[in-house]
Formats: sequence, structure tokens, C-alpha cells
Amino acid sequence: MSDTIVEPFLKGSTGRNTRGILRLSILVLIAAAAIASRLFSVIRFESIIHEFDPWFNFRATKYLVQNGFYDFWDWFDDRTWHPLGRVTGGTLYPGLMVTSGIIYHALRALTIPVDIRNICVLLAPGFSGLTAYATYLFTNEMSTSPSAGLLAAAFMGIAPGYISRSVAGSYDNEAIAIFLLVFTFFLWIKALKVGSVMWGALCALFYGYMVSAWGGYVFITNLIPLHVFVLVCMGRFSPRLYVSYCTWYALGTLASMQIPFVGFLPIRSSEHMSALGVFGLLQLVGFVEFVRSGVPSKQFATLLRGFVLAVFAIAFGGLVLLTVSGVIAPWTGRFYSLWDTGYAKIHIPIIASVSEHQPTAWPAFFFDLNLLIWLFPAGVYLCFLKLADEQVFVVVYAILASYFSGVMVRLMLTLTPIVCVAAALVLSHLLDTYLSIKSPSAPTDADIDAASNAAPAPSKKAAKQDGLRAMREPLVGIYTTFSKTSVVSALTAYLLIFVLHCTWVTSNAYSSPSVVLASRMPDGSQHIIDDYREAYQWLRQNTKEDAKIMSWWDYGYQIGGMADRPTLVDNNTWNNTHIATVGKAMSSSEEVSYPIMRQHEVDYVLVVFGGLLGYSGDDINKFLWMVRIAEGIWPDEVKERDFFTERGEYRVDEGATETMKKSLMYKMSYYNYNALFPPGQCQDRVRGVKMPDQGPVLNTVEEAFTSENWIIRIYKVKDLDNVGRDHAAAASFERGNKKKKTTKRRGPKVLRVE
Amino acid sequence: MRWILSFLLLAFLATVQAISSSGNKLLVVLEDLSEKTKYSKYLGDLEARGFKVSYESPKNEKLALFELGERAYDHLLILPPKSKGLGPQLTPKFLLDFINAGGNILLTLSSSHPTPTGLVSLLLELDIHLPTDRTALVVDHFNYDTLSASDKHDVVLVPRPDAIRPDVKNFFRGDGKGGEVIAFPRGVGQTLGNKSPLLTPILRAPRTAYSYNPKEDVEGVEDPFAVGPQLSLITTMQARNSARFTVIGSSEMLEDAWFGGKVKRSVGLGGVGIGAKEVKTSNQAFAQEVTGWTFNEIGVLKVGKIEHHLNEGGASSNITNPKIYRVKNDVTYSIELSEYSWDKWVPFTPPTGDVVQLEFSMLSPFHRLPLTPSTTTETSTIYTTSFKLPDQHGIFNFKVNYKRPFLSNVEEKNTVTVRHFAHDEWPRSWVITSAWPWITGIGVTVTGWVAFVALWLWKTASNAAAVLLSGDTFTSENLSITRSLQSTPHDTASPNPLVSSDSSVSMTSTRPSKQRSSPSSSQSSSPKTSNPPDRVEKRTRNTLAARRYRQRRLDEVSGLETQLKDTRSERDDLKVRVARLEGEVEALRALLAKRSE
Amino acid sequence: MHFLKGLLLSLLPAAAFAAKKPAVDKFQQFHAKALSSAPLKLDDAVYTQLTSAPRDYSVAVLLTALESRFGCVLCREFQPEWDLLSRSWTKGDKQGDSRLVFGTLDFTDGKNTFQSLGLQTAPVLLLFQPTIGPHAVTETGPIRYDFTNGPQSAEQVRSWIGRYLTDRPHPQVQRPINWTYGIAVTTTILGTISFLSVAWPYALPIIQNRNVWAAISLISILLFTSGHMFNHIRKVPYVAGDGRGGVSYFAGGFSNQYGLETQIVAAMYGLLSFATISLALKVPRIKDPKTQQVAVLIWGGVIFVMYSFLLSVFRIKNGGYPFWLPPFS
Repeated sequence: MSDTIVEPFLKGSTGRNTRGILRLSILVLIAAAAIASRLFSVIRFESIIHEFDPWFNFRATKYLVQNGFYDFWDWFDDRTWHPLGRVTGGTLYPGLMVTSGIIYHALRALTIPVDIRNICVLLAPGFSGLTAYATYLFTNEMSTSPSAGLLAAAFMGIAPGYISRSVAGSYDNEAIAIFLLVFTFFLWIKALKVGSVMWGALCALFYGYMVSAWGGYVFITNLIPLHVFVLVCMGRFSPRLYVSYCTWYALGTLASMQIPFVGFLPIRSSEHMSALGVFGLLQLVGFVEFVRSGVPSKQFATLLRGFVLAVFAIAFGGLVLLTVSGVIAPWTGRFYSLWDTGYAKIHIPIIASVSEHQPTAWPAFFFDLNLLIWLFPAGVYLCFLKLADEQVFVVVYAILASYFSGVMVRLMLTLTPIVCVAAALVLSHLLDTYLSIKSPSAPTDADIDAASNAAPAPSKKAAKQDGLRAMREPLVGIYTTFSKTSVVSALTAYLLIFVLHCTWVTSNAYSSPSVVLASRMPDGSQHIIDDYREAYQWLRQNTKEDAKIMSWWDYGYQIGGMADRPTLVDNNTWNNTHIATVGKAMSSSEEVSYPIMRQHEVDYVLVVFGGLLGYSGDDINKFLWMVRIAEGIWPDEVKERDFFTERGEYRVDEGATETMKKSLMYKMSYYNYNALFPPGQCQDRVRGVKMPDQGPVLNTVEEAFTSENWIIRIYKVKDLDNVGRDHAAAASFERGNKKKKTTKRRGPKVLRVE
Repeated sequence: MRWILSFLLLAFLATVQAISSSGNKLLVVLEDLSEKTKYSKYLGDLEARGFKVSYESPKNEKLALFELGERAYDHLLILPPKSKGLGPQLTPKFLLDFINAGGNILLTLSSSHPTPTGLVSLLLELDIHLPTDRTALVVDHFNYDTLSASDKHDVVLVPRPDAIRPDVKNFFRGDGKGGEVIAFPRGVGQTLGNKSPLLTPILRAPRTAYSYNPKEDVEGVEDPFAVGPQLSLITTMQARNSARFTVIGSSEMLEDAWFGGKVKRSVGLGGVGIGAKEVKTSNQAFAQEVTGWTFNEIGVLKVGKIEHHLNEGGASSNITNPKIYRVKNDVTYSIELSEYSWDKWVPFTPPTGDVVQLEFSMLSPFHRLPLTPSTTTETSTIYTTSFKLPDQHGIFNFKVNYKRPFLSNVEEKNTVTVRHFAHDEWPRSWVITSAWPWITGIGVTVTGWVAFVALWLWKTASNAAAVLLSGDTFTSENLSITRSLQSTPHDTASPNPLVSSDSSVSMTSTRPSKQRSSPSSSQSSSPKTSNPPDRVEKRTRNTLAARRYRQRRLDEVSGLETQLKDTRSERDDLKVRVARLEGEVEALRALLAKRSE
Repeated sequence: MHFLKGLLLSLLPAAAFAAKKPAVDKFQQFHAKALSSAPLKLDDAVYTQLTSAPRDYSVAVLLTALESRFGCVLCREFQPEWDLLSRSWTKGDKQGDSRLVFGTLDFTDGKNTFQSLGLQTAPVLLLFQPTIGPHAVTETGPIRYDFTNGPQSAEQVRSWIGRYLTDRPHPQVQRPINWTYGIAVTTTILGTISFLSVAWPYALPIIQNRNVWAAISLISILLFTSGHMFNHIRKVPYVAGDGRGGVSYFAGGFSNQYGLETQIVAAMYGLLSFATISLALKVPRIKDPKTQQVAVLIWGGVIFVMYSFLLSVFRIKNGGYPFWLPPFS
């Protein structure tokens, strides 16, 4: 039994023969290359956690390592979403943190003292090596030629589509999730082929791990049932199918329900209903097959089939009914927006506002998987030749994943593995054909005409049975060495270009930790712009331990991670209303926003302003989203229309609307900005417009800090006036102009009432 | 000489006497020191109460309210200057900074010399308005002193003030018997705006008083600046940081002349006070109360220690002020309050009709509870309350926000986190009665499954022989299924057309040879795999095995019958041959017999 | 004296009643009219009468310009929604508890009103709050609902009105059941079912044909990977002219594209993969060495050229891209 467990993992990768050793070394080299090509950012900058979400994961991991697993499980985080707090332990996918925690403790047990940060930084590259190996196993299930697996592993190792989310420092769920995805699929195919409970259970186990690691597990939850459904429709129902699926579904569902964040979703939400439905369908079909095998009668069989269809229809109707009646939660917005692509823009501005939820243009595809993208269809076509269950899986996966990745940029991640596999299939087929040394002997006329009069019979036969046109003629092989060499050399050239491309993309596009910006000086030398960390360090050193920082939600995780200060909202956007509150405070005038800030005990307000440096990702450019989100909750008080001029332009110069000029965000961004420039030359380098010479006036907040390049500006919220004046009056008194004495009293006297 | 003596004496007294709760450095601003004589009694009282009084002229360059950014004095008393300005050191800005830094200011006005513009604009900032014409003064034709102002009517006699609200402590009513009278000579009345909640008038003008400018003639009376109680004679403003600022409309009322002086009130409205006799003014006592309040000698609240702790089921935990609670915890909160009166801290008790409240709030109060005095020490009262936390996790504040007129502000905020139930704090499933059906259900399922498996293993063991039939039958069974479903586009591998499942027997006999050649799907799962066949496969194999067994017996019977038929026919034609041969034999014998004869 | 006072007191309620009376009548009569046909068709006179100052009811007036010569598309799009809303609302409370009257004032009937309000655009929805009575509000001016983002649905407008008519019933919008739609759907479903039942034996081989499925899946994959969904979501133009009157096939910039562009790209992908397939599958099955040689050269050349062209196109999209193949550099 044990060797049956071990054997498939090691099949071909070890062995007594040199071939096996060669394979093993190749795999090791591939893993090394995969890891090495992800270290650009560490070498260029330093071992630092990257953009936004990783900072939260890093913080959570530190909490886990310090306080142990149970505290982490019950973690109530009182330093985010002030004053609501967040039940963090119950609302995150703990897989990532637990994984690195285990690694940390294991290393400590081995007396290797290592900083948890370095583990977090290097986790993604490490797992990318494993992903390459999983891809190798997966591909081996697909094709007989061993080179396919190695090619797929190599592709997976260096494909930018996967590197984009797994460079060193991008410590995000995807880092381990992709490995789990591929490996779960491998186990599924294995279970399906062998039809054994053990493999099904293993598959369920890794599925559970996947659920604990990434919200994208829903992809598996829907892909495997779809595969099974297609197989049943093709009449491929078999006991193996039944056993593997039932095992996977039962155990996998139980496993997934152990994650607090998932909880009862697998039986309550529509995303998971397909799996449940296919489970029921399998029971029916299995029952029918059983009865048929026992009772041989055609009519009875047809009757049974009718019965099955009826039950299926009834069950489906019941499901729809339950969904409508709300017993089963309707689809979550993020998931729903995948089908009705216009949905998010109208209903859930928060989702629509995230850049990685945008649709994908074709250059992104080509950018992320250069020549694989056109080898991909060929590989899928190749799967139609020998259409066994696993090939069907490849086809289904290919279509589904390419649709999803077309709708959402971030789902390119789920497409990449199958692209690598398919491309590897076709490429290995090509190489096997064109690299075989022995050429077939040139046919003589005799066997040519023999073939010619022999041909019709088999070809007709083939046409009747074997579907694919390409396969009608019998395989001959390549005659001349010239053609072999030409094709092979061309392929080698393409592959070399692919490697160069991957390296170039990785080093230029995917290796900058958007915390530290790098720019080129005129003399070509690199100049590091470190305003973020400067500002967060300032907060950490100059503010109270529990000073509440209000900023737009993009920076919540970074403030929590780097500045270690409580924030109002952060990148885990679980409470739309709270975010809308911040949006309202930012987008309305000081008189309106000051009470809001008082109520939420805000001490400092942080805005990101790129006007001086030409840094386009600043808050003024995100401002409209704040307005929209706020308008979703307070349609009467915040109106997007008021931020556009009569001619419908979004302007910030003197042509800006009154609402725009009054808004707190505008004031905080441009406060004192004109003082930098000689009069008449004050200009905003992002919007590329000339700013008015008269800067905005702030009464309720005062400037506390502005970073070197003005990217981050921090304001302190003033306390109420000590002698009970409103802030405008107090500020004008500070500026030294006296209050007008009301000499002429018009109208009736205002009398003092106690 | 006597000054110095008395000064030393008073300084000595000061050491034994009490002082204000917030320092005793008092700066008196008056233009020329000779004026001190006018206020000797008043200032004497102050020094007797232990204030270190230093006198400065606004003209003095070295006069500074702040040194090195810190307050140089704790209290400031401004006596009206003759000149129009107050000099560079007493600008509204500095005075306001002085207040913001926690210093107290007692400002006195006088109608004889116009108020400096600086002070006017300062008062405007505080929403206190002075008459537009600088020399206006308060007159009252019904309550005036007949002795001093029989014709000008500008010495207003006012009784001790009542509390502005019944539930507010009144520090200014002396012995409380009433009948005491305050002389308010030639004072400037102020009006208060409505915006600022920090303003409170101590002394209001009588109903019949009004502000009037002697320099102008009657038209001033047409539209007086303010009339009656709207006209505040003594106004206080207590800033948010409890710094106190008092405006006394008439500096004259602090002069010695009026401290001991006798007054006789005029005939009032509705004939009150007819035949009133001369009485001694209570200016001295009143001035002491007002000054004492302004310089933090009375009405100052102090918060002692604040404690909150878990109080689950009556058993209070010994951890005080924990940072985190759980929803629905029982919590006890206690705060210690004491009040300063002249020279000592005494327990604070709110006036009747008023109560100290505790708010437990996140964004908005979830609880607002009255705090009840539990224990009283000689210097303080400890207020406490117990309650159950709301069923809402978040970051909450214990907040005591007690702001009353004439009492210094109490605003105490203690932040605690209220967390959700941890995963092991819920009741276990068997405790919940309504969960029992499910628990039993689980039990039944488990036992049933075990029993089923046991039964199954026994059954399979019984016909293990049948199971031994090799896998090709089982694949063929699959194929028969695929055929009969007939919905596969691709699996057209097997040459023989549609086979209905009842002919599967013949199939099994005919199939295997073609089986292996066909590139069909199920081949991929060829029985070479060494792991044990699972239940469903065994099932199918059993049915097949049983079927073939029956079939074989049928075959045997038919075989025997055919054999029988063959042997019968063989025997018959043997008989025929025997008969023919006998005939031959007979014939030959007959031939032989002919030959021999 | 006392008698006079008494008299006054007795008169007061009467006076008040007299003052109130016409308003009540006004609402009742308008409401009665609305019950018969909502929304009321107004003209200048009725408009002024309806919105004249002492009123103890709310009025929602849609100022619109329906006639085609004004070319107000928005008006015509919104009109049915508006009618639906007013009708269902008026049906919703027959008693007129919400004290709300719906009116429509077309430009042709109410030029003066448009001029007096100084309206340049249509449609405009005005909500007049009551000035007297229980629901009276202080600000007398009408609240204006401007159609900034496209035509609004009846429900949206209802919720907007409901926000101002607090503590009053807000009847739901009853959309009439769309019979024609339902009938059409059922007929199509039945038709397809019958067609399938008839054509099943003929359709079966097509359904079971491997080539068909291969073609379908390959085409869909090519569509998706060439950014078709982007066009679908972002509604990009099919082609755009460059400045000089010509047609620019490829949009500049990394993250935007034209419809035609994606089709070109899909075609390139398709050609490349087809060439690969034929190299992999067809060529080794050619019996004649020469034809095979030629085929290898042809397909290999196609791949080479196409790939280099693809790279060059990508260099257009992404400026700093360093790699290229001859002949397109």
C-alpha cells in the first residue's frame, strides 16, 4: 500500500536509471531557477514586504507567532476599523499565516534562528518551486511523454503570469494558493484515474488546505463538479468517477467548513450549489446504473432515465426556489460580478474601484505568458486526440479559466497553470516528433500505391470512428534531417526569447515593492523615493500609541503594519458603511467632516498627494471613488455631479467646482502647495494644470507633517476651541484680524436665554 | 512703613492660611500703584487668603504673562486703566493664551474711564458685548442708593443672586437668609451672546435697570443698549480647560468705600422697600466669593482614581482596569470625586436634582447610567455603578462628562476593547437540548455505517471466488453502460454496434480481444492498477459471476442431451448394418449349397 | 368687553376652518382627478393653481418636453416610468394619506412656467413640500431632482420621493406583468423542445462530433485570450481614425484596445496555433518526402513571420519592449 502512495510522486523522478537521475536534477534546477528569478526585488531594494495586503498578512503572522494559535484563532483586532474593531481571527484565511508560522517554529526547533519577516518575504519563491513540481506531476498525468512534464514545470517556474503574484516579498494568499490549486487538481485527476478512496481523500485534504489559504478555492469548487458533469453528459459515468467525486465532496466540504470565515457557506451560498447538485446527480446516475446492471430491460432503463431527469429537474427547481426565498444566500458580489460584468460598477463601487478587478486587455495576456498564449490553443486541440477523462478536464479548465481571466486581471493567476500544461503538451509533442534520430525509409512506389489502395478503407473507417481529421493518415515520421533541424532550432530560438522575456518582465514590471518607489535621475542613476516609510516612521515616533489615523482604505494595512497605529478603514473592505463614512468626511466641507472626525476620535488625517512629483496614484485621482462610495450611502449629502464642472470635466485648478474646492481632501492636498512656487507658476504635475495662487484655508485641522516629496501629508485634527468659538472664528483671530463689532443692530434684539 | 509691616504680617498669615487649588501667584494690573489704597481692603483680603500678589503697571515693559513659554502667574486681576491701551503685553492674543494655558483672569470695568479696545475685542471673542458708547453705565430708577446717588440713580442696589437653575450650585448667596444687598456703583453692563455655552452671568441687573449714556441726551433712552435681566453685571466664562474668566462691571464696588459703606435703597416698583433703613453693603463678602471662585478657591472638582473591573456573577476579579472585556460581561465602574472649598478638599455631592452620569459609548452611548455614591472618605466621594456590557464588540469608552456652571469640568474617558466570544466560550453542543436530535443522528449514522461495512465484508468474503474474476469483465461492463447511454460523441471505439445490456454475456465472451485494441476511455483505467477494487466494482462483478455460473449449467445439460441423441442414432444405423450383413451371409450360404450338389 | 372676547373666540376656529377649507378641497379634487388618470396633465394655469402657496399636500411635477421636435430622448425614455410610478402610487393610496399629487407639465402646454423657472433643460422633476398642515416644512422652494446619470427607474424616483415624504405611506411600484414577453419565452422553449425531438437523430452526430467541440472550444479560448471580454465590458470602439484621416488599427497604450485590434490578434493566435498543430500532427503523416519538406518549410515560416509580427505589434503597445524577431523589427 505504502509504495502505491509514494510511487506516483516519484514516478520517473527517481529511479536507478540515469534517465531518472537526470529528471530529478532537471526538476531541482527548475525549482532553483523559479526561486532565483523572484529575488530581483530583494537584491534591488531590500528584504521588504510589498504593497498592501501583504502588510496585513505579515502583521497577522507576527501576531500568530507571538501569541500562539488559539489567540490567533480568536483574535479580535482593536487597532483596525476603529471603533468597530474587526473579528480578524474569524474573517481571514489562516492558511498562509499558519504555514509560515509552522516553518518558523520548525526552523527554531532545528536551532536555526531566523527572522519571521524573512520567512514571510521568501515564502512565495519557495512555494513557486513546489508549484513547478506539482505542475510536473499534473502534466505527467496528462501525457505519456515525460518531456511534457518537465517543460510544463519549467514554464510554470518562470511564467510572468505567476511571478506577478509570487515575487519575494509579495506575501499574499496567492503565494501558496497556486501550488495548492495545481496539486489539488493533480490529486483529483489521480483519484479519478485510479478510482480509489485514498486519492480522493488526499484530494479533499489539499482542497481543505486550499480553502484555508485563499478565497479562490471557489474556482476548484466549481471546476471539479463541472468536469464531472461534463463526463456524465458524455456518458463517461463509471464507478471510479462516483467514488472519487463522492469522497472528495464529502470530505472536502467538511474540511472547508472548519474555516471560521467559510463556516456554513458550502451549504448556504450559491457558489457552492453546483458541487452539491452534481453530488446529488451522481447519486441518481449511480443508482440507475446499478438497477440497470441488475435488471436487463430496455424499457425499464428508459423509464429510469426519465425518472432521473425528473428528479434532477425537481431538485434544480427546489434549489432555485431556495435561492429566491433567500434560504440559500445569493451570490456574493465579487463572484456575481464575474458573470454579470456590468454589475459591480453599478452596485458595488468598492469592488469596481479595485484595479485588479478590471477586465484584461490582450497585451496583458501576451505580457504575462508570451508564446505560451498561442501554444495554448494548440495544446488544447491536442487534448482532443486522446479524449480520456483527464484530457476532458484540461479542456474544461482551459475554457473556464480563460473566460475568468478575461473578466478579471487577477484571475490570470488561475489561467497560467493550464496554459503552461497545454503549451508543454504541444511543445513536447513537437520535440518528440522532430528530435527522433531515426528517419523512416523513403517509401517505394509499390508500397505507395499499396498505401493508396489500402488507404481508403482505414481512412473511411477512421473518419467514422476517430473524430479528428489530423489523425486520419497513419503516422510516418519526418524524413529529412534538414526539416528536423530547422524546426527544432526555430523552437529553441522561441524558447530562448521566452526566457529573456520572462526575465525582463519580472525585473521591470513585477519586482518593485510599491512601498518604495524607484526613479531614474537624469544621469541614469537610480533614485529611491521613500516617502511612505518616512511618513509611517514619523507616525510611529511622534504620535500617541493609540492615535487614530484616518486615511483612504488603501493605506490602512500599511499604516497598521508599518506605523502600528489604529486606522478607521483598511484594505479588508468588510464594512461598506464605515468606508463610506470616511469617504464622506473626505469629500465634504470642513464643517460637515469635523463632527464626523470628532465622533470617530480621529487624531490625524493622512492623504497621499502626488502633485509635486507627478505620482499619479494619489488621492485626488482616487477621489471620485470616495465620492461614489459615499454617495451610495448618503445620496442627498454627497453628489458626484457636484464635483464635475458644468461641462462635465473633473478639474482641480481654479475652474474646479465650489464643492470640490470646499472638500476636505482638496484642501488637505493643496494646502500651502502654492508656497512652494513663485507666484503664478504653481502647478500640479499629475493633473498637469496650473493651480490658483490663493491656496485653500484650513480651520479644523493643522498640518503636522509633509514628507520629503510631498507624497504623504499628515494633518492633526484640532480640538474644540477652548473658549467656545467655532474654528473659523478662532482661526481668523489667530490670523490676527479682529472680529467686527456689531455697531448697527438690524432686526429685533437677540435675547440671551438660559 | 505700615504697608510693609502689614504685608509681612499677611505673608506670614498666608503660610498658615489656605491658597487657591491652582497656585497662588497673582498679578494685579493697575496703572499707578497709588490706586492700591483705594482697593486696600480687597487686596488685603486676597493676601490674607495667601496669594502672592505682585503689582504691575501695563506701561511696564518688563511685564510679561509668560516666561520661557510657561505661565508666569496663576491668576490675573485687571483693574481699569485710565489710558486707552493696555500696552504690548496684555493684547487679547496674550490674554487668550493665558486662559488657554489655564490661567484665571478677573477683569474689572468702569464707566468712568472707557474700556481699552483690546479688552473690548477680547470680550467680543468670548461673545460678551459691551455698550457701543464707551461711557454708558447702568442706571435704575427703582433700586438705587438714595444716599450716594439720589439724583443720578447710578448706584444700583442688587440683592444676592439666586441660582440660575434650581439644580445648579450657588456659591454667591452668602448666608442665604437674603436681605443682604450689593451696591453696584456706576458699572458697565454686558450682554451675552447665545452661541457660547461657557458663559454664565453671576449677577444680573434688576428688571427696571437699563444701560444709559450720561453724555448723550434722551435719545439714548429711546433705544437702550440692553434692559433688565438681559443686562449682566458680573459675567463668568469657564473655558473647556476649566480656566476661569470673570468680568465685574464696576471696579468701584471693590473699593474700600463700598466695602464697609452704608446704603439706603429707594422706593422700588410696586412700592417695595418703602421706609427701608440704612444697611451695610455685603460687597466685601460677595467680592470674596466672586474672586474666590475666579481664582479656583471654590467650585473646583478633582477626579481621584478611576477603577473598572470584571464582576462576573458577583465575584469581582482582582484585575483592575483591564484593557479588554468580552461582550455581555458584568462590569463595575467607580470614580472618585472631591471638591475644593477655600482651603481643603471635601467630598463632592452634586446639588439636589443633579446626578453624575456614566456613559458607555462607541460612536454613540450604549448605556447612560447614574453613578451612585458608595463610600465617602474625608476628602472625596466614590461614585460607582455596575452593569452588563452590550452585545456588541468594538472599542468602547467609559465616559464621565460632568460639566455644570460654576463647577470645573470633569471629562474622563477610559477606553476598553470589548471582544467577541472566543471559540471555546460557547456552550458545548450536548448542553444545548435542541442539539440532541442531531447528536443522536450522528451516532445513528456512524453505527449504521459500521454495521453496513461489517455486513458487506462478510458477504464479499462469502463469494470471494466470484470476485476473483479478472477486471476485463468489469471494463466490458462499463462499456456496455456507455453504449446504452449512447450520448458519447467520442467513444466510438468498439467496432461492434449498439449492444443492449442483456447481451452482455455474449459480449463478455466476444469482447476481450477487441477490448485491448480499442483506444477507449476506460482502457486508461486498465485493471493493471494494483490497488483493491472498491465496493461498486465488486457488486457488478458478483452479479456477472452469478449470471455466468447459471449459464454454464444450462450449457452442460444441453450438451448431454445432444450426446444422447447422437449415440441413439449411431446405434440405429449399426442395427441396420447388422441386418444387411446377415442377409449377405444367408445368400452366400445358399450359393455354397448349390455348388456342392 | 367680555362678550366681545367670547365672540372673537367663537369666530377663531371658524376663521381657521375657512382658511383651511380651500386647501383641503384643492387636494381632494386633484386627488380625485388623479385617481381617474394619473399623472395629471397640467398646463400653466393648473400648474400655478396646484403649486400656489398655502398647500397642505405635496406635489411632484415632471417638467418634460415630449414632442419629437425637441429631440429630448431622456424625456421619452423616462415618461413610461413616470406614468407607471404615478399610477401605482395613486392606486397605492386611494385615500390620499400620502397627500401627494403627481403632475406632468409638457413644454408645449407650459412655456411660461418653463420661462419663469428659467429651465433650459428637460426633464426636470420638482417636488413641492406642503407649507401648512401636519407635514409642513420651512423651506418653501421646490426640491429638484436632476437626471444626471441617465434615465432613472420608477423605483429609484420612488425612493427619492420617499426620502422627503417621511412618516407617510410610500406605495410600492407595481409593474404590469409583461405578457408578451412570457408568451414569447414559452413559445420559444416549446419550439426548441419540439425541434430537438424531431431533429434529434440528425443532430446527434453533430453533437457527438469531436471536431465540432474542438472548434467551439478553440474559438472561445481564442476569443477570451484576445481580450474580447474587455471590449464587451468597456464598450471600446471598433476602430478609431488616426489624426490624418487614416484608420489606426492598434490603440496606443498598454491597457486599451480596439475591437478590430482584438480580432486581428485573435487571428494571429489562431494562425500560429494552427501552424503548430499542423507541424505537430499533419506533417509527420505526409507520405511523400518532398511535400513533407515543403510543408515543414511553409508552416515553420508561417510561425516565424507571424510571431515576429506579433512581437512588433506588441512593441507598438508597449514602448520599452526590447525583444523582436526579423523581418518585423
